[in-house]
Amino acid sequence: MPPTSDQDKHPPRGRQAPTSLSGAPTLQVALNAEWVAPSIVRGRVRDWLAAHRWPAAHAEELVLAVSEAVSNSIEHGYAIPAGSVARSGEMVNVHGVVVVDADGFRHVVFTVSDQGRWRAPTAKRTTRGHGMLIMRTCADDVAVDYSASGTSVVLRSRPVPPVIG
Amino acid sequence: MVRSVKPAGDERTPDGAEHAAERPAREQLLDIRPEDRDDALILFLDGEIDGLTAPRMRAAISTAFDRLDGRMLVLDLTEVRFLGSAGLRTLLDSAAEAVTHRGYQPLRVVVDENRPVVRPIEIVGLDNVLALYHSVGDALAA
Repeated sequence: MPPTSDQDKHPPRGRQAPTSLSGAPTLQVALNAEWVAPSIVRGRVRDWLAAHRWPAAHAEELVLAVSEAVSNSIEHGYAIPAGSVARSGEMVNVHGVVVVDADGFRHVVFTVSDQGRWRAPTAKRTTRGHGMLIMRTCADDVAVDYSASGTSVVLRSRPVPPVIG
Repeated sequence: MVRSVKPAGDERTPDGAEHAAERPAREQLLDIRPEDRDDALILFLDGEIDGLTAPRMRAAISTAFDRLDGRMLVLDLTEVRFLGSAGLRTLLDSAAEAVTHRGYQPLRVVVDENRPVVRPIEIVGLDNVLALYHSVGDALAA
């Protein structure tokens, strides 16, 4: 199936787009908070961006950033030890949307959210510093919102050219 | 906290209608193959290094350290397709362990120009810390 994009003249309307349609305007994935989740999200984000004909180098940066955000939720939001299974009801949600700017360029906004209790970094060094550095480098803007009800990370991509043809 | 053991493939989309069928098996995500030489022990890593697989990488390196017997340890990451912060941490800890705690030769890491590995290493500045090589031959000759 050829990839669809926001540039399509005839987007599918009037029917519920199946979630496996990777070219859908939005991406929404809910996963149990366990260590297999980042790899699943990477596959989903990679496929979705490819369907939107996102430039490959940009796409890989975003796959890396989103993977780090999901890993951050598992490691720091829920404090899931390596190798353990998910606790009931502890989820990580990943939402992505393609936004077409006035000049025709496009950017994508990913939101990675959890309902974990944010834990202040301990004196012990963790991977969090590297993860945040990766997110800040690979996205155009990163906003982290810590609250009592959970953490959300909003990653906005750099703009990419419109799809031609 | 009670842990409920869930079936393996229970990630769902929000409407619960579809399983995330592409759940990868751990074996598919990262393969680690050791190769013994007279002068070196080489670990060839193939796949993805993230929070799921990094503990296995760390264990493989630890086992390799114990078997070095004076040889150098070389990690070949040219077939690694993803390297996240958990893998970067493992590389940094392993390199530090080799020198600081074990008194071994520095860990040698083969990355060539494999972008999925080189890019994260450069982002966090580990290219200034790790001994990076283009090929196993280069690493062995260094």
